[in-house]
Amino acid sequence: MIKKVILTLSLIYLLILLQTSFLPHFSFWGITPNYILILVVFITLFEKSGKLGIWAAFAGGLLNDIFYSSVFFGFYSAIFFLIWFFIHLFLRRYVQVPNIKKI
Amino acid sequence: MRKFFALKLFVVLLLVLGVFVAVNLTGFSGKIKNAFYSFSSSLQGNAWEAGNSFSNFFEGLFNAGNLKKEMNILLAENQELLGRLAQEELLKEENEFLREALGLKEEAGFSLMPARVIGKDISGELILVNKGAKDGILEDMPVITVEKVVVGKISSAYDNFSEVMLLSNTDFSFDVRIIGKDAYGVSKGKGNLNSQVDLIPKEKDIAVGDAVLTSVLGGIFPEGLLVGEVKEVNNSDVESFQKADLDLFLSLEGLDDLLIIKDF
Repeated sequence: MIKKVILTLSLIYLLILLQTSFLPHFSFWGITPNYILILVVFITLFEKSGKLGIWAAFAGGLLNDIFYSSVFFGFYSAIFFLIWFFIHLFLRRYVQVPNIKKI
Repeated sequence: MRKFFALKLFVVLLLVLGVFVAVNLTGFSGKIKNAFYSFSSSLQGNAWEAGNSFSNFFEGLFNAGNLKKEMNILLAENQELLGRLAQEELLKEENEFLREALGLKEEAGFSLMPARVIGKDISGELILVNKGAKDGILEDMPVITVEKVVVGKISSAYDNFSEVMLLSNTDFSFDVRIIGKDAYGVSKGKGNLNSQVDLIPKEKDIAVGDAVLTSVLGGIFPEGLLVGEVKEVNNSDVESFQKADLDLFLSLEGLDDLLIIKDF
């Protein structure tokens, strides 16, 4: 579990660096998607234990707060947590996700 | 077990919330950001340059068909600009002669600080540069390119880094002048590297292609920096003023080295 968490956090850190430096040059109609958010949603939907998602959401939100200017520090953390909460408590419980190998 | 996890989560959430409130109230977020930027700046800077090179390469590849056409347009524009430059040189000489004759002092130039782009905020039209409060950078200082194209202004200055609010940011407006039309207006950011000039008097005859420069009226920028050219004019009968959409000279492509105006 710890290995998975460290790997996920490293991946999110690497992705935020790319998202703020390399990827803005390849925007779609001027818009750069938030790849961290996509990754967090993906992990939360397909993880087995239910705990990796919250680590990913926490790290993703915090790094978004650090690397992006927002209304207040903690804004993205709150958004990411709410997304995790929604997927974890509602979507995973009531919606059947495709039967692929879980993380 | 499930209850215990929920309780643990609730306690952790409360603690995290407390930490965030403290960080916001004490202004410690700037220190955290500065520490992370310092740690990541070399990697970010290199990735920014690599992204620039890659995007230039692919753009060249996909637009190869238009290159010849664009080159001809640029050649024509270049010749026109050379003509204007020659005329400007003559005016400059005349101006210097008159200044000397009237005993006026030479206008002081800007005090500039070079800076390098290391990252971009995807959500708020902000870029990050590698100069901060320790280099004498203060909030609201204007930022331009070496070609004197307006980039924006410093929105936050951390110890070693600063955030630059791009002129296309929706929270950013400043006074501009439309060349040759004796018209002034206010440029307002529309996001996504777009901007619009508002509050242009209706009687002014604005046309597509008119160049827009900064005006010293708002006190944000010095006079005469390049902003963009008029892309579309909106002169509606029901509005008290006319508006003009701008094609900004600012582009993310090739945006590596910037200049921060410390004094003007």
